[in-house]
Amino acid sequence: MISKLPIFGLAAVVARIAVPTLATAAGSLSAAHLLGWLGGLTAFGMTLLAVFQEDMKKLLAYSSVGQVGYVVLAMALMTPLGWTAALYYAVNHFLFKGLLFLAVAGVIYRTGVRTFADVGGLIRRMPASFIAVLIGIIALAGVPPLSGFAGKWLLYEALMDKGWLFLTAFMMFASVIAFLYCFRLIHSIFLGQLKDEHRQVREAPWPLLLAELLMIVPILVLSVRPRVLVEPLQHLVTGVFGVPGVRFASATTMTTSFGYFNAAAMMAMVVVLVVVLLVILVTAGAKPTKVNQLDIVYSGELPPSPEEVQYAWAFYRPYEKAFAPLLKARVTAFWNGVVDVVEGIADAGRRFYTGNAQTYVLYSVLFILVLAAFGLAR
Amino acid sequence: MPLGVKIAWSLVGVLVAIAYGLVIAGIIRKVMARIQGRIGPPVWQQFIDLGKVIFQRTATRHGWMFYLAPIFRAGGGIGLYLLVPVVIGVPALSNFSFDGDLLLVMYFIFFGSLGMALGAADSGHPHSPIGISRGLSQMTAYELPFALAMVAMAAEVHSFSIHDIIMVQQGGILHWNILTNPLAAIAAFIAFLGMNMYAPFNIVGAPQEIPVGPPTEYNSVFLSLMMSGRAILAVAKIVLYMDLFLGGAHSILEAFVKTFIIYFWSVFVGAVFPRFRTEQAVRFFLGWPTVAGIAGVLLVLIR
Repeated sequence: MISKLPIFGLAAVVARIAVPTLATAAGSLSAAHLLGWLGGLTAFGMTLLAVFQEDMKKLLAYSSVGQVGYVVLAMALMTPLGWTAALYYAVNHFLFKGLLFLAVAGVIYRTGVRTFADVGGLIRRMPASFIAVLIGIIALAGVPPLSGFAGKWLLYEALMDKGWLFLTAFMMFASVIAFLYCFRLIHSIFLGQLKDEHRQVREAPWPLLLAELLMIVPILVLSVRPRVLVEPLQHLVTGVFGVPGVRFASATTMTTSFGYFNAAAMMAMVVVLVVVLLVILVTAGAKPTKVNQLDIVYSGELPPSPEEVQYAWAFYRPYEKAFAPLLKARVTAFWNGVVDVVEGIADAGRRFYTGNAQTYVLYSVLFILVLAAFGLAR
Repeated sequence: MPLGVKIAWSLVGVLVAIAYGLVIAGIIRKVMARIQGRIGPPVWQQFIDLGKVIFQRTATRHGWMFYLAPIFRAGGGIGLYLLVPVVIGVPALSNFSFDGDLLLVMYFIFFGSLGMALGAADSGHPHSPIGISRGLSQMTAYELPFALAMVAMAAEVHSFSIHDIIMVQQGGILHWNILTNPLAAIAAFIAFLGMNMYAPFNIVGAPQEIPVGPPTEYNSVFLSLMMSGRAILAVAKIVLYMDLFLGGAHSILEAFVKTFIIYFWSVFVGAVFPRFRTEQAVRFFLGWPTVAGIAGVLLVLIR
């Protein structure tokens, strides 16, 4: 989780240098706004790139860069609330991204592949890893009731409080794009059709599962009581700004100048709803018969093989088409241009090395002649 | 009000909302049929369908994740409804809206969608991920005009509290947000079309192509919970829009009238327009509706 280190470095530097100047000079204020947009554009761009990855670890890597963009943005707010959001986000991201990397490492370790199209349906073989990834993506997506929502909530409240309205809406947009790769990650690995060569795959080794558990427990604690983390962060932030950003209306309700949010009530509501609905589902109606993997409604045909039924390659092709003019063309064209220039230079250099000894003799003679010409000219 | 009484009232509210959602869906089928020159099913057809799937004699299931989709779909709809105040000043009908602000409501909309996506994908049917891929793509696109409109509404009153947003609209029709900030309202109401997934944004379910989309494999009680969940989710969304743009409601009757009008905006658009492909829908939402949303936020900034 080295990607978080610069954040704390940034925090330390900004806390010592920029904050005092900020009160006096109007110029440094716009620099913070620029940094904010830089963070916002990073979050958006990297999230979008993560959506189109076909490799598990590349997807997570792009996602991490995007998440750091949110932290930089929150840091650039230069308000107590913004800093609380940034630090909460950084710690929370450390937890869920660590969890996701560990779980995906387990899958790669057991199957030996890391492309989405090569796996699928592994929930039947690796249920514990599945649950770890599930908790990880819910926290990443910021969907209630897990800890990620408090991070998003703090960020948006801080942005609105500062008055950066367009960045608020832009970040809401970027956060929703993250759902795309979250679903991609869990679906392509664990859901859908299990491939024949993976029928004997075992659950990830227990040390990995133990490490995952060490990440899951704090995530669940933070989900019910974000205060556990927000309160110590408040002390840090108050040390810099002199005032806290978030207030606690009750033991579990956080309030800001803009809104309120009760994490424990949220969690209680979700748990009650899920339990009641599960009871209804299990007790009412006919007892369901479990069917085989390929027993699906298949337009009157027999489903051929898991490979052909699983929908995994180029999962968001239409989305890629929609964003083609914005992203693909420019980024690819830029790097193609760089490649062309480098290749051109290398190719021009290569022409001198013909591999023919006589050419090299010719070069030597020509070189001596040039030297001689210089000598004569003097 | 003691918590037990509040829960009891909320339960009544949830059941009424589900019934109302089913009736609306029945009226839609009738309206669509009349537009296409058919007589159409009776208005209570949705209740008959619901009864039919509940009492099916056989049922099938896939893995244990298969149970998640109906639970999250219904839980997401009920939860969303519980977070939105229905009638102003009546504690029994303001549900649990004091436990979370507009941000929580916005994120709770995703709770059902993501949960259903996960459960449906466990069925192993290719139509599920195809439909989900389309649905999520479309969802991100309408989120941008929607978010801009929500930001404009919240910035106006300097609060994310839905109660504050309702209260600023009191004192006559001229105070409603739909008239005080028509640009943000345009962005939000176009985003609403995408949210409801009627034509032109119905490629997710895409009849005649990937029949019903994500819930292809669902049957019996599973399907009945999904139908109820969809019904209450639709009601929760229109109640939210009523609170945000039409000044909330002072009586249950007013709530019915206003929500009905909001809902039929998307039905009538759906009856007239053909279907967008996914990338066309994405580009559409990121075009003029987004411009309207940006203009709506600017309107708040210059005031």
